[in-house]
Amino acid sequence: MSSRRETLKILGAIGTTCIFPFPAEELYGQHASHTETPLSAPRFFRPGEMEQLATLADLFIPPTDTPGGAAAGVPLYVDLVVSRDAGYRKLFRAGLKDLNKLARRQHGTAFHTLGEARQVALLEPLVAEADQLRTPDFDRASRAVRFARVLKNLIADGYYTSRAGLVEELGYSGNSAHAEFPGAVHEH
Amino acid sequence: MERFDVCIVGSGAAGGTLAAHLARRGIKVAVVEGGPPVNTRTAFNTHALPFEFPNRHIPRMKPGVEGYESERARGVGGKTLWWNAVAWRFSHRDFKGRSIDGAGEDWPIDYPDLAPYYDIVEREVGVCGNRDGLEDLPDGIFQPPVPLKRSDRIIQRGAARLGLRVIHVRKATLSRSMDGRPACHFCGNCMAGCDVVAKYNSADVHLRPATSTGNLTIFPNAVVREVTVSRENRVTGVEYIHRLHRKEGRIDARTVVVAAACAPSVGLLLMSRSRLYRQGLANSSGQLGRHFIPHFTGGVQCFLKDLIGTPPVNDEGFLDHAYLPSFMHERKRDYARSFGAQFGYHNRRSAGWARAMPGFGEAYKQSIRERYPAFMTFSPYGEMIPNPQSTVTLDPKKKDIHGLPLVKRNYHWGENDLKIFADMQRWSVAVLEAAGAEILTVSTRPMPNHELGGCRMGTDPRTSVVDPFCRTHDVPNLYVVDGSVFPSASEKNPTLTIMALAARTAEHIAERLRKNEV
Repeated sequence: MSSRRETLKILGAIGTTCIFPFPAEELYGQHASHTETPLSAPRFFRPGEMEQLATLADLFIPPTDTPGGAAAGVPLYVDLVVSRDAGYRKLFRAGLKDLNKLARRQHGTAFHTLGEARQVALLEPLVAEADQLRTPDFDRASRAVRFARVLKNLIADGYYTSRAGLVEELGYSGNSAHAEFPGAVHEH
Repeated sequence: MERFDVCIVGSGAAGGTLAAHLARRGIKVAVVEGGPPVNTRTAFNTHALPFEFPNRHIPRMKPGVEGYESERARGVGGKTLWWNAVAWRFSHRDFKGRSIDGAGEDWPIDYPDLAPYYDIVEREVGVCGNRDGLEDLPDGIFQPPVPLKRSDRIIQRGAARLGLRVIHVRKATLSRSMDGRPACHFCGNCMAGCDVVAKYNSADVHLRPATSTGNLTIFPNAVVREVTVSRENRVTGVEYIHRLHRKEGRIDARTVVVAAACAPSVGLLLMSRSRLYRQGLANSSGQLGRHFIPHFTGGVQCFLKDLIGTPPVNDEGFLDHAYLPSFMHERKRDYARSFGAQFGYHNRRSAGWARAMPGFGEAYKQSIRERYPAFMTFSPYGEMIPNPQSTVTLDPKKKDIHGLPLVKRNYHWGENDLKIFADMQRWSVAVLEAAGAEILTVSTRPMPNHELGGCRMGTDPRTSVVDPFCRTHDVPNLYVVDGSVFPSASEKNPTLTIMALAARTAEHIAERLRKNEV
């Protein structure tokens, strides 16, 4: 997509003004940050559930000119968060099953083997309702809607804090040094 | 055992300023801090990004490094390690709220009393800002301001349509290098801790240089549990518990300054019970813990339409670069006091607002990409009026890991507070709409911020705890210096005023020590 290339071009231009600004001064700062071992195996979800989560992650955030939810590692992030919360464990185990039941009832097959159009049609009313759900009303909503709400939260969190989501998709360009703050010069 | 001239409990903005100002005058100072020493060069995750951590949560400290733990153990430097460094002077209106608006409480001092100490502190720590000539926000001694962001310009134009002025923020963050500290390089994560000390922290700017005088001793990892008092009604020092090995210790001093930050300071005095002070030290008036007046904030999340779909740029800067100063104090309104607004202080290391965007799929993904450069948080701060239910107390049952009672904040918003809150939310939305914003969320409840009050300054010992020099009315060699002494809160960020009070109190203590009055 051309706008991405433009973005990179503009970032390149800004990059030339970014020098490390401590000439002739004590070199402060150890600009290396710690990286932990990335997640590898799921802690809570079973293989079939992980597959289903990967399908859902891509339905919420599909691959485009940048990776989708599945390739960005969202399922393992969701697994980590869910594995640490008893309420979420219950909600997700049941929520994923509910989706399959709904798919079987309407189309005679499990959710992740439905075509994309049918998957989207199943999710649409749930997500629409979940979008309207406000925190104080959460407990009063149906299980399917509560599941859709938390699922969307975790997929959005997981994707936009991943390298693919934050850097490739959103074009995060901070965390670097400016000798001078360029101010409003970028204004169009 | 060595007896210090002054023992200061706490090493943040107040403790650091006091310690440096006293040690430079040749006074023997002990600073007692509940947390460990923190190497600000290496301890912080200033440059981390969320995907470096499996749970995407960037921890305060690097792995294996201690520091941020609880309110009684933040590390040497206290909250200045993490603050955003906004540095306003209070004005006459802030000091004389009762006289002007008939609500709250007047300070026993006024702007001219504190102005010379603001000068001293600004020169010492480096504050960048613009001289705006506003009566309500006195100018100071500033380094050049940092340029506004493009989003600030847009909000400035919107505000101007409503007759409001948006100014450069003023921060204790360097825009020019000074005293071996480099200027800010705008890496955009100030509140994760500045690893180059462009942003003021008391450990590097005040305490470390002061140790070279030979007059300052820092006791880290020492959680003070009591300020002790003699039968002759003089404080004699402090008793502490070592944070790690739990051994008890004691520091003797001729003077004690409690500067542990608002609620912890009040808590420590309440815990310091003795035969003379059964309800807590310096609490013969029963005023200790009352008049707790934290700032309250609102908040609006929005997208500036002019920026939707524009390419993302590196504009994290040093977080907020602009400010909407108080203006309602000059207008007709049905409440006392006023509010100001900070905005654009988010960094772009995550997009938590993506949860709140409707739908899913490609259109959803596209809508977030387009709005990412346009996202804006706008957060007004209001001044609270004291009320009887808003207090700091000790929890009668719950204890912390040191076995000390937990300090409780009892929040209660009064009618005036809720009126300000409603109006500041209305104005925030109005300014943003005038700037051409798509509103995403508007918060519906006031949230406490900047803890102030609880140890009120005044001239009447029946209605206040400390005198105009921050000395307790009850005990002549006990002082309290931090946000707890504020009789009224203003709507302005309090730290520079705390530091100016600390500089003024240091001078006062030095004079008394010289005259052998303590």
